[in-house]
Amino acid sequence: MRIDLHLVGLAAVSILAACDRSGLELLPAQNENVPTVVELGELRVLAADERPSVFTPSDCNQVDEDGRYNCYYGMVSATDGVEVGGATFGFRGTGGEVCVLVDPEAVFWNKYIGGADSGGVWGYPAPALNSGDLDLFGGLSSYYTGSPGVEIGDFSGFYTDSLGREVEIDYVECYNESPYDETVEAHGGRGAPEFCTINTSGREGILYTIVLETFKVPNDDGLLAFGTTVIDGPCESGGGLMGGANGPGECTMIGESIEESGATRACSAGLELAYCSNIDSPASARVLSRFCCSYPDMCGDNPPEGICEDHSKDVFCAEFPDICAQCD
Amino acid sequence: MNSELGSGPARLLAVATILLSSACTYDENLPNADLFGTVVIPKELTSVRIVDIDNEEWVVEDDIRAIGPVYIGVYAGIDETLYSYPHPEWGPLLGDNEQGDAYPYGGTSSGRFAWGCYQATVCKTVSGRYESYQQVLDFFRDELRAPLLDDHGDEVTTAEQYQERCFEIEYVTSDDELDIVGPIDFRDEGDNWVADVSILRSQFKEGMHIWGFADMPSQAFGFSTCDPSTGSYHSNYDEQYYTGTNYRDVLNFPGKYISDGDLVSEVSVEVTDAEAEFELTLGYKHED
Repeated sequence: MRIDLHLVGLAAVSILAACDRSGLELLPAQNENVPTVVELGELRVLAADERPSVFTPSDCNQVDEDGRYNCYYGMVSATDGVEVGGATFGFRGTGGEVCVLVDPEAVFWNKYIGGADSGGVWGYPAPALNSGDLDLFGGLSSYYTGSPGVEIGDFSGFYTDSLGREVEIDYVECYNESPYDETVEAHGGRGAPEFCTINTSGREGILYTIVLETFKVPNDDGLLAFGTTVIDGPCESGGGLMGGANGPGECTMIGESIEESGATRACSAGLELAYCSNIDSPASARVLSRFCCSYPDMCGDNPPEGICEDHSKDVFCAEFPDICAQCD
Repeated sequence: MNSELGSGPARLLAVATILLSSACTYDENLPNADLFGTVVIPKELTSVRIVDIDNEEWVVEDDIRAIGPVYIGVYAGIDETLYSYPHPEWGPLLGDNEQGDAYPYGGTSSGRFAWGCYQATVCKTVSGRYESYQQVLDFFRDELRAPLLDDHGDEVTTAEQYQERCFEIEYVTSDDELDIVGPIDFRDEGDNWVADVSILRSQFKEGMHIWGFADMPSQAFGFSTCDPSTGSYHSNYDEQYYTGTNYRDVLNFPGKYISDGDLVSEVSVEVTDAEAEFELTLGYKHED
């Protein structure tokens, strides 16, 4: 059989040409000014009458006489791709149920691609590069295997039965939930808050460790900002704070999109409020699409054809002044 | 060179065959074993008291169709102090759980919840209990006093009608494809019902215990190990419901599911030889 060397050469060139794209540009770069693993210290469990109706950065990051934060807004850097990154903090059991909440920046939605309403409620594409994802879990600090501020761990341990067999046990007591899915251990997804209820019955004053494990870092700056808090009582009672039907939601904590300087990214809280209003308002209000048309820098300046037709920012802001106040 | 093995390719084939054959003797030394034995249920314990919505009471006497799934697990040990009956030892209590996980080495069941093609059978019919459709119809009509009804509210009276219903909604063409009818798990041995059971690929440690219980029906002929909100989803015009299946942690937390009337093994079987057949008797009737 004769082998056509021209064909072989052509194939080789084609294969080499295919390798000019590594995909590395899709991975966020590590930010050397911000650590990849952060220990926040201890957070105070906020009583129901202490918590603000909506958390903002100005409500948090203050410490009491015991050095405990009342709630926390912070950030971690992307990792080198090998190490597991994230943040940890502690809180002390109250003897009852407590709700742990984390809201990673910022907000994300699926663009509506159906034909009937493609220009409507969710028609404007979500900004893809400024949202991240943290996975929430936690348990008793005595079971935590990581080194706070150095290495993220887990809560695995071993039980030895009466015949000497070792059984690996997961001592996690905080299984994350999401406002978008009633399934326990449901990962909220990009930008979505996650929360869990921990029953600390019989463990008043005992230290718990909460892990916010980095899952996805925004590509725009390699930094994943977040807000987190611990509230007395089960997460279900947190409903109503512009939250999901089964607990806290996207607008329980706003303004978590923080820049490296520590300042809240301009207008990001407005984006969150527009997202939540979009859920709470009639579809005809098209709050999110109209917000994006008013502030295209927040959603991308390439709207689908016709979605911003006849749009007036003045009319929108007259109708939703609280949202525009976050941006103007 | 030619030899008795033949020339090149044939010789290679012969060598490969020898090598492959020798590979089959390799013992992986896995800490697992297949356990075989029988479960014995005394007939005198199988009577079930039924109470209908009008508070009328009657007893279903010694009928294997009233025996729910029999769960058999293999455990590290048995603890006499946890319940009023011997129960597998627990691991640590975690989280909100009031009971510990028994971490079984292995397990199986004799019979499983098998939907009987009508909503009235959800979590009430078990495989290995009915040889024919007629036996299902008879049991519901005569013993439970609640005849199976078709979608017009008329009683299903013939096995042919029942079979046609099952074939139509389950998209099958033979009884072998359905769990509801088939060979009976139990054989009649005088005072006892006896079933053969196999516990395949159980972890093995000398001294482990085989323990089990039979889920017996409540007064409303319900089974505590069956979850009517899960299993396959039946969707046929206005018939929209789950067909029910067992909870997934029955062998991990058996005490959570053992309820009034269930039959429990009073004496577990200690396994010292995986090759030896076991006999497990469910001789204790639990009463709340």
